[in-house]
Amino acid sequence: MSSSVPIVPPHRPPDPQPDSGGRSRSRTSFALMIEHYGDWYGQTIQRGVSDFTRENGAHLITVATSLRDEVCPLRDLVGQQNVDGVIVVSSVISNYEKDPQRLAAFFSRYEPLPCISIGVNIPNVHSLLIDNRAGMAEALRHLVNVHGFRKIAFVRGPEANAEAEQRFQVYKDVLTENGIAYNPDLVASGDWSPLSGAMAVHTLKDVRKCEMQAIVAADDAMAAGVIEALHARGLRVPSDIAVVGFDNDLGLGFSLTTVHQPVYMLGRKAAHMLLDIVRGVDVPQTVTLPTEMVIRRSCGCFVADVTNSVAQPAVGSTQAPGVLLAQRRETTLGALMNSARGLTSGVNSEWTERLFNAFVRDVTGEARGEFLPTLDAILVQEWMEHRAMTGWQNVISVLRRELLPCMTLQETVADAENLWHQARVLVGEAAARMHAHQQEQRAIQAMRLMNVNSTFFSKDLKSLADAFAQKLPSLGIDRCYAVTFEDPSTGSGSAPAKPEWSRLVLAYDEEEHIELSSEGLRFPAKQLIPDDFLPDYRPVSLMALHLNKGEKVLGIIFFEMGPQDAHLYETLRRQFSEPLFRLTQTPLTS
Amino acid sequence: MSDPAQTQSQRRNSMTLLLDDIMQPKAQHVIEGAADLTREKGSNLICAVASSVHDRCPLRDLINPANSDGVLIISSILSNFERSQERILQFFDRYRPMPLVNLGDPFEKVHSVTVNNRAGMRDVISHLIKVHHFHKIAFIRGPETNLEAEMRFKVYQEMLEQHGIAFDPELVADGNWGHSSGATAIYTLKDLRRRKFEAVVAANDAMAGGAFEALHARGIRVPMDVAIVGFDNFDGTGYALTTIDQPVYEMGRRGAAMLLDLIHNAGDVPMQVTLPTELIVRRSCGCFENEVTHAAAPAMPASKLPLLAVRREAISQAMLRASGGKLTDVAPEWPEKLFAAFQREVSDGKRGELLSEFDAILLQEWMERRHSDTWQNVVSELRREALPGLAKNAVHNAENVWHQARVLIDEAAQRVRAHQESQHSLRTTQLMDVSAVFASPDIATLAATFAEKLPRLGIERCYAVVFEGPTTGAVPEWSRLVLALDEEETTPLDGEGLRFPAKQLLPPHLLPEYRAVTLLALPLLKNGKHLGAIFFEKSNVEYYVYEMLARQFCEPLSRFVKSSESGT
Repeated sequence: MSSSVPIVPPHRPPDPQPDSGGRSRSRTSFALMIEHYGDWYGQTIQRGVSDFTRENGAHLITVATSLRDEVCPLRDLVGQQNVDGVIVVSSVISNYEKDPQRLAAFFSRYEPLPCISIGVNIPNVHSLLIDNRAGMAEALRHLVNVHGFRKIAFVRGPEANAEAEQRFQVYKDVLTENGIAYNPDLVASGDWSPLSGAMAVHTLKDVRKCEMQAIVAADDAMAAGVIEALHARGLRVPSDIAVVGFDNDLGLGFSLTTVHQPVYMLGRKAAHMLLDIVRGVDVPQTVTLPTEMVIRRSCGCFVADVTNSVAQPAVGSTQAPGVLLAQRRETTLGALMNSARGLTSGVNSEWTERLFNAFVRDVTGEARGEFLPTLDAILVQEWMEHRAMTGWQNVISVLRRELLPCMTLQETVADAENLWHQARVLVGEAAARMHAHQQEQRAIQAMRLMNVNSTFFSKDLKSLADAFAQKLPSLGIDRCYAVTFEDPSTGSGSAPAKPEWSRLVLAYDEEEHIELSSEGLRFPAKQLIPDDFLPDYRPVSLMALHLNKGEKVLGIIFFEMGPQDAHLYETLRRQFSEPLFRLTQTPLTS
Repeated sequence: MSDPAQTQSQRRNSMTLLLDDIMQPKAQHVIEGAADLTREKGSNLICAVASSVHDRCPLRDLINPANSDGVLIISSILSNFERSQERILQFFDRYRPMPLVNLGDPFEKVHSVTVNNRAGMRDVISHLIKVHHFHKIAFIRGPETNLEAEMRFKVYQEMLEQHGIAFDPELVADGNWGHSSGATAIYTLKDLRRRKFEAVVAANDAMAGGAFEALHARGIRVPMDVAIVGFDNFDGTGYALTTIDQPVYEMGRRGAAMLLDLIHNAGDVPMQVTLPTELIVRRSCGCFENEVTHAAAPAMPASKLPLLAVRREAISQAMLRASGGKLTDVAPEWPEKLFAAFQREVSDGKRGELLSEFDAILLQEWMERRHSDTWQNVVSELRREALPGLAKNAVHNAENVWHQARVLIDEAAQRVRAHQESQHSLRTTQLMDVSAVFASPDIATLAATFAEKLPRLGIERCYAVVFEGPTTGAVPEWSRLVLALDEEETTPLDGEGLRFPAKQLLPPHLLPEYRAVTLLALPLLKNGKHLGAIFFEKSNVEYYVYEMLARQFCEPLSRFVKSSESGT
C-alpha cells in the first residue's frame, strides 16, 4: 500500500496550526448535504437553495455526500470552521436508512451548528417537510369521485422512506373513506425508478392477473414506467387504464396527472429558515409545505391549459366591438399578466399593453396586421433575454377568453379567430426554434467538455491543473479549486479517516490565484478551502465533490455553479480524478 | 496481383461516401439521404471522413475497388482547398475505374448532383426587391477564397444591376461564415461606415443570425427597421430567418441512386443533375412563416360547399399532406380517425372526441420516440377545409376544439423537448465516463472497455483498425483490427489484433450478409498522425457522439501506438 504522495514532501514543516479555531468570515456560508445531486429532485432543491443564498448574499457549498459510505471526508470536514449552518436532504438518505437513530446521528456531528432536515422529521432538528397527504389524497379522491374508479392499484416507493410510506398510507385511507375494501393484491412495490414501475405492471397484470381501472404510483418516474409497460401490453392510457403519479417531474415525456411537489420551494425555504436561525429569528421546529394535484391527461382529463383555451361567444349585446373591447381592457391586462405565470415577461407588464392594443387595433380595423408583428417582436425580445418560451399558448387563450365575448359582429369573430390561430402557430414555431438552438449549443458544450480529456496525460500536477483550469471558462465555470489530502483516506480503516492537512493544487478564480507552486498550498484540512479564498464582495455557490479512485478519496474539487447541469460537474470531477490518481501514485519521471 | 478481396462475397454492393466534416449539418443531411437510399436498396454504405485534398489521409486513399463498388464525393472536400479544376479532376481520376458521383459543386466530365444555389440566391434577393420593395440592400460575404461564397456575392451584384440599383461597395461587409462575423459586419456597416440600409443579405444563416443580434443590440428591430435574409436553412440560429433551403438530403439520395445505377451499368444515367432550391419565407424579411399565414382560414360567404361528410376523403388527404406524410407507418389511419372524431364532435355533439383522438395519436408517436413538428399544420388544414362546410351554429364549438387541439399539441411538444433536455445531460456523462478507457494498460483492454459502453449509447456495431508502419508518408500496407463489436460476436481479438491488408479497409466477411449496414468511418488522428480509423454503425444518436467517441478512443490509443513505434 503506497502512502507516499509525491506532491507532499514529508520534510516540510507545518506552517499554520491545524487546530486554529472557528474562522472569522465576513459572509455567512451554508453547506447543503445531498446524496443524488444529479437527478431532478436533487438538482431542483439545489437550485432553490442556491437561488436564495445568492439573493441574500450568503456563500453556499453544495456537498455531494452519503451516509452509506464509511469514509467520506467531505461529510466529516464540514463544520464550524467552514460554514455557519447545514442543510441535509434527509429524504434521499431515508431511501435506504430505516433506523431513525442513525439518521439523527447524521446531524449530531454538526453540533452546535444550526441544521435543517429536508423531507424527514428529525427530533431536535429544524425540519422542513412536504404535506404528502393533502396532494395525494386530492389525486386519489379525484380518481374516485370524478372518474368513479373503484379498482385502484398502487405502486409503492422504498419501504424505508417515510414519504413513500405516507403516500401509501394515504392510498389506504382514501380507500377506507370511500368504502372501498383494501386489496393487498393491488399493491406492488417499487424503488422510485421507471423500471420498477414497469415491473409493477408485470406483477399486477401478468403474475396476479388483476383487473383495475387506475394505477397510482408513488412517484412520476414509476408512473412513466407503468404507462410504457401498459402500452406494451396493448392497454391504452387513459382510455383503458388511468395512471397517476407524484412529483410533477417535467422531464418524463408523458402528460401525467400528478401531485406537484414544491421541490424548488423546499430548497428556498430551507435556506430561508437556516438564515433566520443564524440571524436569531425564531423559526418553528417543523414547517410543512403544501402539495397540490395537477390534472393532465393520464387520469382521463385534459390539462388545464387545454380546457382553458375554450371561450364563450358574445350574447345579446348590440354594442360595437370597439366599445366592449375598451371596457374589458383592465381585466384583460390583469389576466394576461397572470397567464404568464411569472415564467415569461412577468417582470415587466409593458408587453401586456402592447399586445392588447395591437390586437384591438387589428380586429377593429384601425391598424390591420399589427397583432402578429407585435407578438413576434415580444417573442424576439424574450429570446434575446434567454427566457423560456413556455406559457405563451396560455396568453393567447386568455386573450381569446377575455375578448371573444366582446365580438358582436360575425366578421370580427372570424378575423379574431384567424389571428388567434396564427398566433398559436407563431408561438409554437418560436419555441421549436429555441429548442433547436439549445440542442445545437449542447452539442458544442459536449465537444468542449470532450477537450478536457486532453489533460488526461499531463506530466505533472501543475500542468494538469493549468490545462484543466484553461478549459473551464468555455464551459461557463468561473471558479474552481482542487485540494488533495495528505495521506489520503483509504476506506480500509475501521474509523473514517479525517485528513488534517490539505493542499490546494488548483485555484482558478477572478482574483487570479492560478499561480500555485508545484506542491500546492498547504493548509488545515478543516478549512475546506484556504481562508480568504472566497470573495468578500459577492456570494458564490460552490459544488464540492470528492476526487477519488474507487474507494480511495484523494481530495476535493470545488466548482462554482455556472450552468445548472449537475452532469457537467460530475464529468469534470472524473476527468480530474483519474490523472490525479495516476500522478499521485506513480513516482514521476520527467 | 493476388487480391484477397476477390474472395469476399460480392453479393451486396458497398459504396463509400467521402465527406470532410461530420459536424456540418449539410454533410449530415447528405449522409441521411444516402443512407436511407442504400438501406432501402440493400447496399452497404461507408461514410468516410477525409482530410483536405492536400493532406495525407490514409482513410481517403485506401478507398479502392477492393473495398468499394463506387464512390460518392461531397465536393467541398476539394473546393474548399483547391481552385484548379484540373487538379480536382485529377483527384477524381484516382478512383477510376470505380463509378463515381460528385455532390455539390458542378464539375463537367464527372457525374454530378448539384444544387442550383444561383437560382436560390436570386429568389431570396428578388423577394426583397419585388415583394418588399427594398433598394438599399447590404451584403455580408463569405470567405473570398470560397467559390460558393463568391457566386452568392456575384448574384447579389447581378440582381442589383438587373433592377437598376447602383452597386455600393460601402454596403458590402466581409464575413467568414461564422456567427460572430455577421455581428462584426454590422459593426462595420453601422458604426464605422454609418450606412443606412433597408435589408441585409448574409451569404449564410449563421452570419445572418449574428447580424440579427448585432442590430438588436443597437436598438434596430428586425424586420420592422431592417430586414435580414440568410442562406442554407440551418435551423440552429434560433431566429425566424427567411432563407434558401438547399435540398441536401435529396442530394444524398439522388447521388446514391445514380451511383447504384452506374454500378449496375444501367443505361441513361445523366451526367449532371441539378436540384432546385426552395425559398423559405419566415419573419426576418417582414413576412410570416407559411405555417402562420396558413393558420388563418379564408373568409367565405355562407357556404355552398357540400356538407362535411361528403368531403371526408378530401379533408383526410389534405391533413396527410399538411403533416408532410409523417407517421404513416406508426398509425396509418390517423387522418381518417381524426376526421371521424371531428365529425362526431361537431355533428353529433360528442364533446372531447377530437382531443382524445389527437392525444392518442401523439401518445403513440411518443411511445415510438418520434416527434413530428407538423401537427399544427394538420389543425390548420382541418380548419381551412372544414370551416366553410360547417353549419353556422357549429362554428363556435369547432373553433374551441381547434384551439384546444393546438394547446394539446404544444404541450406534447414541450414534454418531448423537456425529455430531450434531460436525456442529453445523461448522455454526456455516459460519453465522458473516461476513467475506465483512459487508464487501460494495453490496446486489448482499451478496446474491450470502450466497446462495453457503446450499446448504452445506442451503437451496436463498431470496428477499429490501426495502421501498421508509417503514420506519415505513404498509404499503409497492413492494418490490424483491434476492436470488433457486432451482433455476430466476431471472435475476441488478442492483444495484437487481427492483421489484414490495409487496402481491404476492413477484413473480409466482417460485414453481415443478411442486412445492409451504414458505417461512419472516422480517422484516428493525433497531432496530425493517422493512427488508424474507427467505424461506427450509424444509429440515431446525434453526430457529435461519434466524433467524441473517436477522439476518446484515439487519445489513449496514441500512447500504445507511439510506444510500439519507438520500440521497433
